[in-house]
Amino acid sequence: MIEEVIFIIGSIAILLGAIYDLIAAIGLLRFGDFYMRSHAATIGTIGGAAFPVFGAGLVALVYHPLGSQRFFMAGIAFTVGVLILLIAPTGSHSLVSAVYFGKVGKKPPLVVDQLEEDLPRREDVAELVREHEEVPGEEEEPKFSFRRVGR
Amino acid sequence: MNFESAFLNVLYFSAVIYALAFILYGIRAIKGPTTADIILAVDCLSFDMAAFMVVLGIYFKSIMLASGAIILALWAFMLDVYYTKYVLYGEVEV
Repeated sequence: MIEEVIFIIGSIAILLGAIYDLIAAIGLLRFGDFYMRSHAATIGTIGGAAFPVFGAGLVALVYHPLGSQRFFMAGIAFTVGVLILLIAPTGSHSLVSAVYFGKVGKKPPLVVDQLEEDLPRREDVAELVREHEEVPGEEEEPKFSFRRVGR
Repeated sequence: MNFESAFLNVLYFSAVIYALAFILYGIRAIKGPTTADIILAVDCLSFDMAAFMVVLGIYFKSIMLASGAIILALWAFMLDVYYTKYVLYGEVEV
């Protein structure tokens, strides 16, 4: 009885994850801006990858044709699920920050961009670098060195 | 309740939808205007491929197929981090 319930819950998770995946793919294709596309991609990674992997782990726990290998399979599935939950937000956040701060693509279509007002401008940064530029030949001697003493 | 035939039905439906989603991701990965779009699409593609690999591993009764999903997920993360370090710092320090 309990095995059928777990199997049905896992199957529903796999099917729902596939539908999430299709919705995210349509969004990734139809949105017009990189920042909106990253929103759709986040749906695709959490709803379309982590959710069906946990469902597959539940299915593998009660799937008797696997024999005693089903616990290994469930362990692999839960490991992949936790890994995707940790990795996918970190990766997409770092990608979006690289595009924003590195000024790679177009600017985001915003009315007010308060983060850009707080950032230092390029001329100010260049002036700061010029003030603190080190004159060549005045480097300090390193206090520690790997040369042997007393030879 | 026969688990094997029931899981085969689940696999039929989910494989069709997953294949359709993979094609749409592939279109975006080919025609993406900037490199960041391509990396975003490839990122999604490999995470979903890892998820589909676990489902296929249950169907084909092999744990070797499912253990490749861990490597695939980590590879997508490596792509993101390397692109970020290349754009922001100009070099990739390993």
